Amino acid sequence: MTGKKFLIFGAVVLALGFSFQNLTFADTEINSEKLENIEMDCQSIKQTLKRVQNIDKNTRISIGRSYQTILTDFITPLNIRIVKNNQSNSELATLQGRFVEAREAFNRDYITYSQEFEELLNIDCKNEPENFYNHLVKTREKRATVAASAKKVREIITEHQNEVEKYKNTFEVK
Amino acid sequence: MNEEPEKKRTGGRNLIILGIASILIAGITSAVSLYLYHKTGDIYLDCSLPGADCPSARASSEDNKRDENFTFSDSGNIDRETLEKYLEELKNTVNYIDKLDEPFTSNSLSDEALGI
Repeated sequence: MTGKKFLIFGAVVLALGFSFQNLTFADTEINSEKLENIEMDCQSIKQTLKRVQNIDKNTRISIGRSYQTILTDFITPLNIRIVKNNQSNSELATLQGRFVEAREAFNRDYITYSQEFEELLNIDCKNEPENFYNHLVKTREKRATVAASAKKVREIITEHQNEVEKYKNTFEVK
Repeated sequence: MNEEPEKKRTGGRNLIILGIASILIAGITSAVSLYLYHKTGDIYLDCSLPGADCPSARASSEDNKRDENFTFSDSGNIDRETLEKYLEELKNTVNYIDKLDEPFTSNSLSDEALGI
């Protein structure tokens, strides 16, 4: 009896585990329905992808310019000014280095993502739906990396703002 | 007697060879540059491409209400007021980044969005 209960419990746990796995990776699994949809709507899928590609291009330009402005018009001159005033703030200097690295990582990740996207668009989804879907999954992964890189840069900006705020409070109110 | 036409013929041939060689060199160097332009990924970062909507990106400083000419000077005193102004101007640029609705969100490439 105890063994039976144990078996039932085990089966329930396994079933739950599988259903959770399906829930988590639902967007990465290929099934015949998806393949049929890709074959049938190949043209419209490609059009949607091209639209996403254009939006991404413009987002990259806007974000890239803002990063450039923050670095050249704010962070770098502030650190130079601190040094010229015979003061030091190692935390702000470190943050500048981290910002530069994070921005370069963002650019690198964006290039990799764009190359993957380009490959995806070159696949004949009507005749190679499976290959197309596999590349789509890879492109999603690269896109997630770009999003994470952008988030990382944004976090460093917040750290910089907080550090400047702290530095500001070391000066007396006139 | 026959030397003059012979020289002319050789000169003409050399000119053709020079022309072909120049075209070949130009073609090869252009192909190599284009290959590098694509391979290094510069093509994806180049906002001078027709597809890239650079004018809207340039107009971003108007959207974010940031003074176009504001650049924090790398010389001068450092005091509380200077840093306050710095933070205020920086905030306007940062607000512009925050206004971009979740850049590179996963939803855009989801099965649902693509109708798969």
